[in-house]
Amino acid sequence: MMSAKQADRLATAGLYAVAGVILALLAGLLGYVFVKGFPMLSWQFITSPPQIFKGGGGVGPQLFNSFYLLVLTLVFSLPVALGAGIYLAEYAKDNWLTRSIRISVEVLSSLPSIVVGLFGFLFFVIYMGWGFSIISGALALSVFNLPLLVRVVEQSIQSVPRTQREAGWALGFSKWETITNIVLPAALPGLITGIILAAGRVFGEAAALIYTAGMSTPALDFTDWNPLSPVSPLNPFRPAETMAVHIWKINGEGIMPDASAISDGAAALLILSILLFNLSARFVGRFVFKKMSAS
Amino acid sequence: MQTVAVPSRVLSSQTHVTALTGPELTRPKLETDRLSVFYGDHQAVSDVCLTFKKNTVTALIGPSGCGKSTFLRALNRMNDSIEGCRMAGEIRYDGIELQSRQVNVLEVRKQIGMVFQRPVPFAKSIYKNVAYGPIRHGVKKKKELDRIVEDSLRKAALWDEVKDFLHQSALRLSGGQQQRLCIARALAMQPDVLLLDEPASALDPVSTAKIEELIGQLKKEITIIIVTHNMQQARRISDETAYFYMGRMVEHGPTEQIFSNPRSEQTRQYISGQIG
Ligand SMILES: Nc1ncnc2c1ncn2[C@@H]1O[C@H](COP(=O)(O)OP(=O)(O)OP(=O)(O)O)[C@@H](O)[C@H]1O
Ligand SMILES: [Mg+2]
Repeated sequence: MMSAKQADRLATAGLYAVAGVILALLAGLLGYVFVKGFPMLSWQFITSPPQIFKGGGGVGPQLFNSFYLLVLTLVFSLPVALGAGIYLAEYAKDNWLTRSIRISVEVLSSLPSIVVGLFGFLFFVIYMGWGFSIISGALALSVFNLPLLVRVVEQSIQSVPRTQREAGWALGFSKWETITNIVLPAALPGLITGIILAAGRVFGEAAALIYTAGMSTPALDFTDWNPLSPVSPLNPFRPAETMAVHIWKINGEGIMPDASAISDGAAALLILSILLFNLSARFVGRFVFKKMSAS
Repeated sequence: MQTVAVPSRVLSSQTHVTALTGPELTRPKLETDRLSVFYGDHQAVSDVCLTFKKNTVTALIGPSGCGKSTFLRALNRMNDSIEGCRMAGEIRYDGIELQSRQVNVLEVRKQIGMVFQRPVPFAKSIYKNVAYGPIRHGVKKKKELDRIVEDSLRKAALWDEVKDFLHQSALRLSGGQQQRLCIARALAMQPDVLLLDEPASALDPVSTAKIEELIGQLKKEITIIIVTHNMQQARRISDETAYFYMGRMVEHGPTEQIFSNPRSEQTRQYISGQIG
């Protein structure tokens, strides 16, 4: 028979071992990507356009596309998620309507992203006639992102204790005033952290974009910021291949001589960006909380 | 007349103001008439008739779960927000029936302020915590706000401790300071009545003494109703005491009389510590 103390030690050792294996896996994976990719990273690489037949191309437009799609996706999905999250957290009674909203959110969040991509292809690309375009891609990503965001909003609002709301009501604030003046500010750090984490997921997404934003980028004129001009990077109706899609593409059909080096570099850049998102998520949340609670 | 003009603000329409004329001086500030409160099927407060005079402190005492908080929260209609909670009977504030449809519940809460058992500071600066209510209710001028904030913090005996870092987070204050901040926040609304639900139960003796002293000062201007489990405290600070037991108000009278010569045997037992 083991004593309770021995059992405790054994369990602790087991947990440490599991944690160690996970850490080693992560470190190995990141290390591999970075060791292979870092030598590629240069200013020239992250700003110049790719080459099709020669070596020495970059991923500038792809990097821009990734960020642009992310911004548009957030512009589309955040307001909806805020509305739905506030409704679910503050107003929803338990009835058939809210139950069906919750179930829809669950189902949406479990859809494989390639399915979301195919839906986007049929609906935005074909039916709406927007073609392979940033707008189709951003809307598909919004569908992909919405369930997570709704949950982030709902949970961070629910984590604000009821006593805070009561304190607001006791000051003669209406329910809505209490939400906007007291609950949302108190939930903001959690909201921001959650939104940035969701953004990291969107940033690395490829499958939902292949059939919506497309796998090519037209020649862009980075001095033309008129969104209506066909060569403008801001034009939402142009096709736009992101970093993640670019990696997928050149691994399949890249014919430039340095294809594998480019793919390694792009992978390192992508992971670096996502790491930055995740790290900044904690930092920005804390910073906002500090700033806000002292003004 | 001032006494009529103030309460009429709780009405969203002015139709009932004429009903207010009467002997203002003898009329209680607040009174309940056979007030009952239910949580679903459970009756937490039964037929309570109580009167609260202007410029007095009334202590509500009684064993845990006897409905003191529920009764107190009925007075500013905080129970409205609890699902399944319903009230019967009347609450009259300066003669106005608070449950009537004409009454604007937000105005009621503005004039009948409330401080909770645990301090609930907002995650904002000390200044903002106090200024929030007045800002929401239309005070815009910086000077005016500064004055209200200083005034309220002084009244809550907190000004000297915080005046040099008004713009730092309220969460950094001690528990006792936070509770006085919450009192200042309630006072900034210039309430007519202040409801306190065990405001000192989570505090150290020094902070408690400060809050008790503060209550003595405040009653010169407003009417105070305080729930407390501390018999010495009830005795020290209140003018009148009401003893609750299982949702009923058993006895109400001048504090001295309740503590020295209670009419009810039950009250005597509770005060002497024989009922938990
Ligand atoms: N939100 C609620 N939902 C349902 N029942 C409640 C609720 N709040 C209180 N009650 C019940 O109502 C009764 C009175 O509770 P209340 O909080 O008013 O007692 P109290 O006198 O303030 O007690 P304490 O001294 O412990 O604070 C109790 O039986 C309690 O369980
Ligand atoms: Mg209570």
